[in-house]
Amino acid sequence: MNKDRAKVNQITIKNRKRLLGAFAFILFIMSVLCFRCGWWQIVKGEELADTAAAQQTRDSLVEAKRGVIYDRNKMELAVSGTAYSVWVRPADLKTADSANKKEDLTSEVISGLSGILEMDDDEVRESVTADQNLIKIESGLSKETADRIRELELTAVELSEDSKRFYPLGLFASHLIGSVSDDNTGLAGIEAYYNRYLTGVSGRRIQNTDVSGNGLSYGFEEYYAAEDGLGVVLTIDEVVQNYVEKAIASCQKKTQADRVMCLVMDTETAEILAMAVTPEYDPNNPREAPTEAEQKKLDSMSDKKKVDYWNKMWRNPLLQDTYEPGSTFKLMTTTIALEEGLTSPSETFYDNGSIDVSGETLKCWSDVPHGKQTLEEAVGNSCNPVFVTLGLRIGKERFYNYMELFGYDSITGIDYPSEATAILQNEDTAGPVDLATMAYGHGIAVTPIQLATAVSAIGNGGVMMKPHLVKELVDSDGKTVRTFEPEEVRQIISKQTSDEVCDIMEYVVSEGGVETAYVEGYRVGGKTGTANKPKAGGYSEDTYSSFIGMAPMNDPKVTVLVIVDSPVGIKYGSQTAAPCAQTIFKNILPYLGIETQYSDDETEKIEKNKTTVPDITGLSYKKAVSALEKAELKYKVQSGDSSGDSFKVKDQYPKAGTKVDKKSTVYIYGSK
Amino acid sequence: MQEAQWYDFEEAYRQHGHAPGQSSKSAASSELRHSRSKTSFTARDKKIALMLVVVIGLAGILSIVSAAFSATLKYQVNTLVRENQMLENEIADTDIKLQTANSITNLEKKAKKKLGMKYPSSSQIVYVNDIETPGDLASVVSDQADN
Repeated sequence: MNKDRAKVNQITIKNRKRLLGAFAFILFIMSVLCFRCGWWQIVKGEELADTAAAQQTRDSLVEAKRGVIYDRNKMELAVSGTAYSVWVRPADLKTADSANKKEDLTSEVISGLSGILEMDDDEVRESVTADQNLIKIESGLSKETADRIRELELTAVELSEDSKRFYPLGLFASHLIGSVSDDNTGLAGIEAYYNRYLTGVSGRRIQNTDVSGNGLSYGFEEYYAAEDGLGVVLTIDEVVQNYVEKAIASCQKKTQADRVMCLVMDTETAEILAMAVTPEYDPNNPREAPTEAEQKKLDSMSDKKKVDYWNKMWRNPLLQDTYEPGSTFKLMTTTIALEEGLTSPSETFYDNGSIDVSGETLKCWSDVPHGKQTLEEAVGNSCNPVFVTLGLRIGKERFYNYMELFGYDSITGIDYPSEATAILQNEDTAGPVDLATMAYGHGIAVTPIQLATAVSAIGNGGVMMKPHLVKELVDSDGKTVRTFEPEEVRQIISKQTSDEVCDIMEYVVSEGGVETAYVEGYRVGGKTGTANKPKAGGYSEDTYSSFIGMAPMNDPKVTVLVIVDSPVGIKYGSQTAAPCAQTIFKNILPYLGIETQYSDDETEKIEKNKTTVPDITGLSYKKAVSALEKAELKYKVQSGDSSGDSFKVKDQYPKAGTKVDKKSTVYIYGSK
Repeated sequence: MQEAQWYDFEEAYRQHGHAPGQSSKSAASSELRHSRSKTSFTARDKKIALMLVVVIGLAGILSIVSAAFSATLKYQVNTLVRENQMLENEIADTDIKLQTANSITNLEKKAKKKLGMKYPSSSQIVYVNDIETPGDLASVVSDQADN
């Protein structure tokens, strides 16, 4: 019994020893771990915390939304939206296990992308196998395209979101609005001039993020909101702009001109209501040529030539180029002469076809001399010798003084980048012949905006206003932040002179040979001009054919300037530019609420062309048709079977007794 | 006399471990002290220690669980924020498509081709510039309403 007890005791001791051993071993391991933990937490702790902070802290820009560009009725002309870019990481494709798998992945990516993006396989392959970490394949993609790429779940392909400028109306006022660069900075036009208002101020977000950029729950976050850009409200009226663009496009087609440009200005405030140049470019794709033929030419050009082409395409000739105004400038000479009391509307002149100035003979444009004519008739005939006479009466010093008063010696100050100014001959070296030619609009180059502003001053009682393109700036809620009121520059001429010149301008259109600009029911006044374009060493056969007009002449509200660049065939302004201006006036005057003022003759003519709608209700089809034909009216059956015997007219439109134009349609509503 | 006391001490020592005349309490406490110095861990101590371990353990687990939960919530928030941004972008893009469809050129085309509309001639236009409007429109409207 003692032996058993001793054995048990021995086993117990052995177990206890083993247990102690195991305990000691675990204790040792735990101590090592504790020591290691202490090492990382205490000794290396600060260093690691700094590294973590550096890695996890993301300081990113919060992009401000670029302001919207509106027309005067708050229609959106330029907005910011989202576009997507597709990127590839060639390095990720190269890390595949085997060469076969690498090739498979690469082919999958190439075929996927080239199919959706409609690119060449070789082009995509070049990008995908490039020796770069990250390469952009295409940008400016729509959400649908991006979604299609995302669905393919291609390896090493990523999509990113960018902000992109959209112009919802497409080819519309593109020369005025301009466009932006890839990083949303204004490149041309209003986008460039008002860039600092449109851009806004970026915000900032500082937060702890994980590797994908997601915020961590225990990290800190500081957010500074972005200040969105201000909206720019233009003085342009979308409807007027649309009418103008249609008219000049049709004019270009008819005259086969290189370009047609038009400026419509409010005479009283100098707000620009429309500004258009054909051919237009699409600001959504500002580097694409307007036509396919031009695009082919562009594709074959060198990079430098391409840049030159684009700059020419984006250039706004109405504000940034000069042209010889030709006979439209005679309005200036007439105004100056009248203001200075050097002539009167009733003064008569005699033209024998030419005039001598300092030994040089200056001929009239017309082969047939005009003979005896009043000042009014001389303007209508556009008789050069008469204006030479007036110019010489005015004298060089006075002429140049008025050039300064009319604003030809400086820019108008319109809110548009790189505005050009007129090119006048040097006053010191200009001789009598130079003065004579300038008096009828040659040897001088002005910008279209300068001419329109000066003529508007004539129509505005002699008060010159500063032309401007922007009415106000609004914030992202639509609240007005700043208003640009019409600004008076100076009084150039008296009201009396203004009235006299307006009468002369009205005569020119109604009787003086520019009836092609006349609009029935409206008092339109204006002047045409046809000037040869200068070329190296002289003048070419191509012309700038133009027309400047205002309406209604008793109180001018709108000024229209149309310039046709190099028309083919008939070149006269009265045959090329004036009809275009007529179309524009016809469309915009009713829209602007300017009432018709028919002369007695016109009223009589209109009344003659009217007829009264007879009462056809209750009549059979035959009887109704006969009554309508007697009244010289057309008809259309809107309901009911007119071939049936039981057809009776239940209702009609217009109603009986209404006075309508002859040959207009009466709508018949019949019973079955 | 010394002989008898010594014999008594011997008995007392053998039984209680102390000299006779000392109190049994102090004898008991000295016994306890003796026993305590030998073994320092009683059942009560064990219970307290165990409870502490459990509490600390629970606290540790709770902090881990809450950290995991908050990370999950933050992830969900981030996802929702991203989705919200995508939806806002889609709304803006749709707005642009709407503007393009409502452009004046498109409207004119549809009006002319689909609906057969025409521009009015000058005699068909009525100008409302000179029509007399009642001075106080509000009172006119309220009069009409009362009638």
